[in-house]
Amino acid sequence: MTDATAPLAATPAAAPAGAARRARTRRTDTLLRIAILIAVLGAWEGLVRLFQVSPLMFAAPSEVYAAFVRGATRGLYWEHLGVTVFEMVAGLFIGASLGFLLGVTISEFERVGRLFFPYLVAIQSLPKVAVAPLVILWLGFDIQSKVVLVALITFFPVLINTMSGLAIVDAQRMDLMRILRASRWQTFRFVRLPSATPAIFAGLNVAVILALTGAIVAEFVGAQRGLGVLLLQAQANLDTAGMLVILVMLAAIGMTASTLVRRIERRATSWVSRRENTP
Amino acid sequence: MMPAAGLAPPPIVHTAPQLMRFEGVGQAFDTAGGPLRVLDGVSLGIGETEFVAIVGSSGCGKSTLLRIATGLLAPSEGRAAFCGRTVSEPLAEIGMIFQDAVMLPWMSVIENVTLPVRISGGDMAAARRDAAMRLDRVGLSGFHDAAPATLSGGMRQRAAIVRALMTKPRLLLMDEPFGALDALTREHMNLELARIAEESGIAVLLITHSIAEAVFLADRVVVMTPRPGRIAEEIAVPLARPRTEATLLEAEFAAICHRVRRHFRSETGIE
Repeated sequence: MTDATAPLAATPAAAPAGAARRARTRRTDTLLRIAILIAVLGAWEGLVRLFQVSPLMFAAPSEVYAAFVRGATRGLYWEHLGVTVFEMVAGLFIGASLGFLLGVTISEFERVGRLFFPYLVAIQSLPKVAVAPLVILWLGFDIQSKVVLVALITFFPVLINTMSGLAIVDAQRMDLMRILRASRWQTFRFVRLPSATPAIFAGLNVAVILALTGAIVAEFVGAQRGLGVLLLQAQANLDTAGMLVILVMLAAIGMTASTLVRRIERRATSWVSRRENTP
Repeated sequence: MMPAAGLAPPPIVHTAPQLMRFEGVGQAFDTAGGPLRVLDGVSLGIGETEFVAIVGSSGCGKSTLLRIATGLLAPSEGRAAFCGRTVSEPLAEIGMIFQDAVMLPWMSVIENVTLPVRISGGDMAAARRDAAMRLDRVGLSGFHDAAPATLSGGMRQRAAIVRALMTKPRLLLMDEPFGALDALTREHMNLELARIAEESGIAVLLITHSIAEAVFLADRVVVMTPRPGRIAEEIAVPLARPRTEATLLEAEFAAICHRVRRHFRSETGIE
């Protein structure tokens, strides 16, 4: 995942010793992480000022913050932010649900899988954002077209991962289920679905990020509201600091969403043995 | 190669009614190098409440025989019959213990143990009480809600035995259940299994490649030859029950072990 923090967390000191030592390591990690942030922001500010970068090209963190405060006091962001988040969440929910259900159907009914799979591969290899103009033509500039596009884009990673998760069967567990005379549904419910959860979440982790990408690209193509629209407006106004404000917001949304999914994943697959301190 | 009569001192008399019978069971698998015969004309009966152990070196088709007994595998020749009916699918009356405990890692120990009842749609509240009691008796009190991964191999296997007994089977099939355990744990598990089998009075068919384990636990030891698996000899084990550590010190125990061991000297050619 985030390889940058891995070597920090996996230092030998973190492994043996007691909980106190581990807690201390974690505190140190947090402090270091904050230090890294401050260093990066400082360097950014310093370099922009040092080289007197044109405000049309780039803006220092202080200017970005000032732009944010200006926009926030005018109440510029919240509606757009809400629209983009809604498109992302609703689209992800629909796309992931359909992807999961179709993945289950395909793996449960082999024949269906064999018949439809080649076409699914064909559709999957098509860049979904390329369909955006068509979807907007059909559904208009409002929210629905964005939700559909996000659903379309998040559908495939969940579908493919659900399928590959369900394709892995542990022969012994399946024997156990047969000996306990479990029905097909019980075998699915008690063995196959739990075995597939880590793979399904791997798909969801990808889908979450794609959902945000999908929402923004769809807004670029044609929308009246949303952070993508705001971003294009800022560009048109040569407001570079304003563009950076939106980018920071997008990063925050993406991080929040993927952390949330990761947290649900941890809870749902607590039985998976992971390397200690995997971020 | 039928059950040997000539040399065997106490001829095997099946007094108890037959619970499970293998009748001329043969099995061949198609492999890249042509058909591979793993079992050949195996005929064997297991009486009610009888403990039978099959000993054989690796590749003698012991596990295949057990898969046939469970109904997971249909034999190429002959049949396995339970109470006179051909076994063609897993039966509720037959429990099975695998070499690995096969605990589902996403369920707690007690959820794993009560799973058979959950699947068969039985009374879960009663099953939980029953399971809790049985887990306590095999030394797993305090681990009911633990994740299986936090248990040792021996503890997991004990939980697996409890799970197999939950539906009160009449026959328990065990496929090298202690093969993956260390020697000390294994000895302890043997004592425990002897106790469980004696108390519950169910029939057991145990597969093992430990001669001492087979003789210690069984009423009858069946020696199998490797590839294709045939029955070389059936040896009665008239050691007194209950079997305890003291059993291991009896001269007769050593004598029977020796008699079983002779087969492996001559058959493998390794002196």
